[in-house]
Amino acid sequence: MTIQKSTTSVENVKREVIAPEHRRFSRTEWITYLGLLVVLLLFPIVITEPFVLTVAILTLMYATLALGWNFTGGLMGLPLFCSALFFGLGAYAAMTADTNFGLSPWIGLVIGVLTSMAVAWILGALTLRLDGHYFGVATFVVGAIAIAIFNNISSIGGVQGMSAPIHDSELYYMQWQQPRPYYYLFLGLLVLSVMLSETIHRGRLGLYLRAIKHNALGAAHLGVRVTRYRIFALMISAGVTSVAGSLYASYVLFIDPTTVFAPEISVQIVIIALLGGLGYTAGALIGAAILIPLGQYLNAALGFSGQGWNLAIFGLAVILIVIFRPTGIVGVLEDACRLREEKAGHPEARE
Amino acid sequence: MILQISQAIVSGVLLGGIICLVAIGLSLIWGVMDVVNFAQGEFVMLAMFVTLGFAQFFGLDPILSMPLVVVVMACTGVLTYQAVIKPIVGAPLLMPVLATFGLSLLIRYTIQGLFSANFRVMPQHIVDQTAVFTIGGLYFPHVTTIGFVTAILCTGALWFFLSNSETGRAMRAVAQDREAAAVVGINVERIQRLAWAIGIGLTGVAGALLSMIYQIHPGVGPAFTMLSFAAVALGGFRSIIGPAVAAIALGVVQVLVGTLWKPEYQDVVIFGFLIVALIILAKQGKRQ
Repeated sequence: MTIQKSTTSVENVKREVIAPEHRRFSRTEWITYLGLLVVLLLFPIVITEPFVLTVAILTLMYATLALGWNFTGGLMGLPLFCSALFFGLGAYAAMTADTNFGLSPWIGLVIGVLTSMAVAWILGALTLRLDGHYFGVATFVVGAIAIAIFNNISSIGGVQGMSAPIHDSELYYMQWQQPRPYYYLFLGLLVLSVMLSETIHRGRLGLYLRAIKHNALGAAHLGVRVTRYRIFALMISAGVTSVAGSLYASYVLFIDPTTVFAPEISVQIVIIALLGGLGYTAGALIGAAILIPLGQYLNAALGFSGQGWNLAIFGLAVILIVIFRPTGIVGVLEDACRLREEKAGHPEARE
Repeated sequence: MILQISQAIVSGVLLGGIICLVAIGLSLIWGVMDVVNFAQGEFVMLAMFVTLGFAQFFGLDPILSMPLVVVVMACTGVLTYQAVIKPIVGAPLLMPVLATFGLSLLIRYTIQGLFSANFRVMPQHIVDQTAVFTIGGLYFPHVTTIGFVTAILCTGALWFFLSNSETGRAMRAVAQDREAAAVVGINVERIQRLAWAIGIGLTGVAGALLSMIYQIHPGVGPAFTMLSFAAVALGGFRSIIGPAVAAIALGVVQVLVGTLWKPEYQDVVIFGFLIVALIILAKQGKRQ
């Protein structure tokens, strides 16, 4: 019988909406985060091989992107398929500021964030009042047509793409000869994103968003402005993604519509967040740390991407995770911890 | 100019008729299951490859192999339902969306990995590719005309089935209220399985027809997915006639844009129509 099971029980709400994230940092969490930060800070000093450093930079970038996606996909449970659009807008804004106007890419970065947020606001205002499927449909379509639009804007290179003028190593132009400063730039962005994510998850906004995800009608009846907070979360997603795009443009120095608006980017972001665990800050980090090195290694070692088999495997992985472990790696770990605590008769579990 | 425009309208109507099969399949599954199938276009692509396979290995003409393709695709639909959709019935909205999205990647890139991304053309078939007949100076290619007539017949048959047969009424009942349908003794699971069989079976008809018109390659799917999204958003899901009319209208718009403006902007204009549909829906206050 396939009558839809009602998932709204008091126990579920208590577990998923209020506990366990809506509380202060525990000491273990502080130690884990600080330890991870120290390791990441020392990483490029210890390891100097260029290929490894490139992979590390990409991993940091995708962790940030997955965190950005998580505000919409994880916290709100809405299917965002156009991350690449915001990524590309950020990349093009930074590149255009430098190439066409001779401004610092940092100014472009800000403009990119504002543009992406404006696009997100329009998309959200149109779709987030409706059934969530319409949001998925709209983001899917807008993500697919972005390449066609940017291919036809000739003032920013069109199909040929655009490359940045080469400057001396300088923070003002966001350009360096070595990869190490870029590594720290992306690390800085990741740290900021993690802080933003943890603040939102543990704060009032996270509480609202989880309540909306759980039962939008119920949340609305309790006075939560459902559409407003949804649009707000989508705009945060867009902003974070756009900043990552701007940094990426300065890092690679050449962009064209097919690379920065590639649907593959959106796909990778979704699967990183899903594999790590939807709605968990740690999930995005774990997912990126596993998937990006693995994907880069397979590309380098086997020439894996030529036929697109990697995307076929991604697709299969998404289906399997959704069916068998929708909470991802962090969810599995959390279940294991809870089980152990229950066995040990931990006071928290008996509550 | 007038002739050019009327020709574009004719071609658009003929093509839109075939797209309408894909859109109806999407709308049926959306209505009955509350699942939007993001892999709808990939199923069309799969059907095109199946048709090509029948033609190359058994020398079957697309027109003749169409029933076989429909059976193959209907079985694929049932398989998809059993393996992917049934385990996650009742899960939050994001899960089925991600599952069908993953399915679209799996189908597209498995086909690409197996058969490469090259463009292929259906070998010579009974209906001559270039044959046309003219009415009042307007060209009606045989292939698309046969496709249009087949599509209209299928749409009519489905509409008749839904409005007159016992099973069809049960299907509409499930689309309206799943739990109430179960209470009055309808086997909801059977109806849902049937919806997937019909919805994906229709992509079989469309794929067999389109394989004679378009070049066949693994990347054709998303364009059909987007077109049927727009058609369903404009025409309303849980309905047959609405998406059908919308699909034909979109076909006309697409061909007009392609001939009078830039072919690259076809998808952009489709997105424009999707936005219009969303604005209308939001104005109607279809909140969740």
